[in-house]
Amino acid sequence: MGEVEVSAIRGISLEIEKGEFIAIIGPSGSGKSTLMHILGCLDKPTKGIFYLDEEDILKTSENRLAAIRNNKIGFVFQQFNLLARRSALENVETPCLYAGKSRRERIRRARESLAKVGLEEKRFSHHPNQLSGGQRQRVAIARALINDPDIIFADEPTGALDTRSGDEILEIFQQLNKEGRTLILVTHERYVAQYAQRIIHVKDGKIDSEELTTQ
Amino acid sequence: MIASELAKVALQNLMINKLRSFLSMLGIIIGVTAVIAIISIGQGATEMIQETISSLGSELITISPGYRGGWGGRAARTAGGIFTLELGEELKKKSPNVAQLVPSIQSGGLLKYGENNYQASIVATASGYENIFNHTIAEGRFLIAEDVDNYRKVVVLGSNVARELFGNQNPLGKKIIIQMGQGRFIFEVVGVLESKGQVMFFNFDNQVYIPVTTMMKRMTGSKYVNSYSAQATDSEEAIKQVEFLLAKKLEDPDLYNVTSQEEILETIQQVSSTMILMLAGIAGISLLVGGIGIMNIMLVSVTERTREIGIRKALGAKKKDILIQFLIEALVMSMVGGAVGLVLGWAVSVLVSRYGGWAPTLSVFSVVVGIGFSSAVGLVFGIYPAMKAAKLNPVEALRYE
Repeated sequence: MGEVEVSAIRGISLEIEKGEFIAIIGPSGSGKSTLMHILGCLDKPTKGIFYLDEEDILKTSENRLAAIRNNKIGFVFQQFNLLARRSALENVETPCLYAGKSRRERIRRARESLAKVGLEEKRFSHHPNQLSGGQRQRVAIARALINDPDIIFADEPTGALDTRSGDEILEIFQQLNKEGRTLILVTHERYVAQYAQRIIHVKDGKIDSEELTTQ
Repeated sequence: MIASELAKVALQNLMINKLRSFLSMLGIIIGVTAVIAIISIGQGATEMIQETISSLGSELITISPGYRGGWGGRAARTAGGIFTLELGEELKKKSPNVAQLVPSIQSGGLLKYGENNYQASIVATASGYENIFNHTIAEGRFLIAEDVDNYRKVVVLGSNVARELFGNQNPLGKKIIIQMGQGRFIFEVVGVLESKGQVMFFNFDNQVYIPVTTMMKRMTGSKYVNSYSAQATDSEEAIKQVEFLLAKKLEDPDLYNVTSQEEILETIQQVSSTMILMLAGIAGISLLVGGIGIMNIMLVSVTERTREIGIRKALGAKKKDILIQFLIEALVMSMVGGAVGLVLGWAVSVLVSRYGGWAPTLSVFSVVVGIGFSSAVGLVFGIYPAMKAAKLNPVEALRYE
């Protein structure tokens, strides 16, 4: 690893305002996931400049990046990425655990968060394999929300869901955006991207075009 | 992140794969069991040996022949033809710290009474022997001065010999035949000793005692005895006096050995502690193997849970958090193994001690060794897999299928 430099994305210049709802759209292999990983502080670009809230991400330590991911950013993935052996409540608690919160505080926040995304209370103790796709994604969103982050990244959040639960999830995102959170949605579906205010088209590792929606 | 939280998570993870966790712990369990059992059994046995030796009388001194030759192609053999009855008398008279001294000749022979016969060790000695070796008379009497002076054909039986030859009959006054080499001699039983049990390598209960003069004059015709046993008032002083006298008398210091019970005790202590250490060391190797087993399973676990690690990192887990999580898992495994081993080792040593007839001892040392070693093994062998987990790149880990 690291012997060959792969330019998954290059020459991208992008500014995202606080409170925006942005969709990054592009065919697979276009570099949209790489872009999201960098924006989400999961990966550092080899070259370039990336500021998040005036913080130069290329110069921050790994521990600082972990802290940013923990309290500034929430992730929602296509495959939910829940911990299979933990209950819904325990899954939601996890980021709070890494934030060093007490058990009591974690449980309080997790319940609050799950209620917010509309999961029925009787399902709190269920394991992911006992939940439907829509319910799992709600748990994942609740987990992303538990540390009250400013930015939420969603990577194909509706990709594994039927249309109805997909719409419900997207409505939750819209609601979160209305609360003032910045939303960055990665998708390859035009229809999903329509929920955002601004759509950024990525192709071959570059920004192809930008458009504003009626949202 | 709170360690107790992580310990809980680690326990849960171990419970999910019960069989696998158990098998990985097995090496540690066996290692700790062996270490604890060996140390405990060794200590118990040593204490018992020491107790029986001191039951012989702590101020016991043995004067035995030295080794002679052994060079120029000749085999070494014990020096013979040195100790006479007169020399014994002289040693007793001239050593102020020697309270009692008896000569002895060890031999063997077949004892017969009616249809019964028994192969016994024959000790030819004199009155006083029973005091030096702390023997108690069960019936009749021990050898007395008149027996020795008059070469009487009387015998005192060890408890086993009496039982084998006479069963429930009273042996006192009965005539038995002692067959030694070509000769057959008739002896009268005058006493039976109380059982003393196995002491080190010989069993006093299988011995019979006859007057030393009877053996020399009537049976073998020898002018020499094998050794002297003495009771000292101060064994260190007594050894010096006896050695001084023997040096003057015999000149060659290679011809004799003077040892006290204390010296023997010390030697046994040294030998047994070396043995225990060596055995425990061998058992320790299985702890090492157990550690490798844990490392192996932890590496498998890290690979299996790559995606989980990716998720945790995306949710804000620092390197340190992941490291601690996997390290605690390895530690929990090895320490649970250590605790199980401790209990098993203790059980084994209790069982063995019951069989061996000593009090089971569980020393702080063996507990510290058991628990300390197993947790050290967990740390040493857990750190590499845990570091591997902590170093994973979150993006790559998330992509892992």
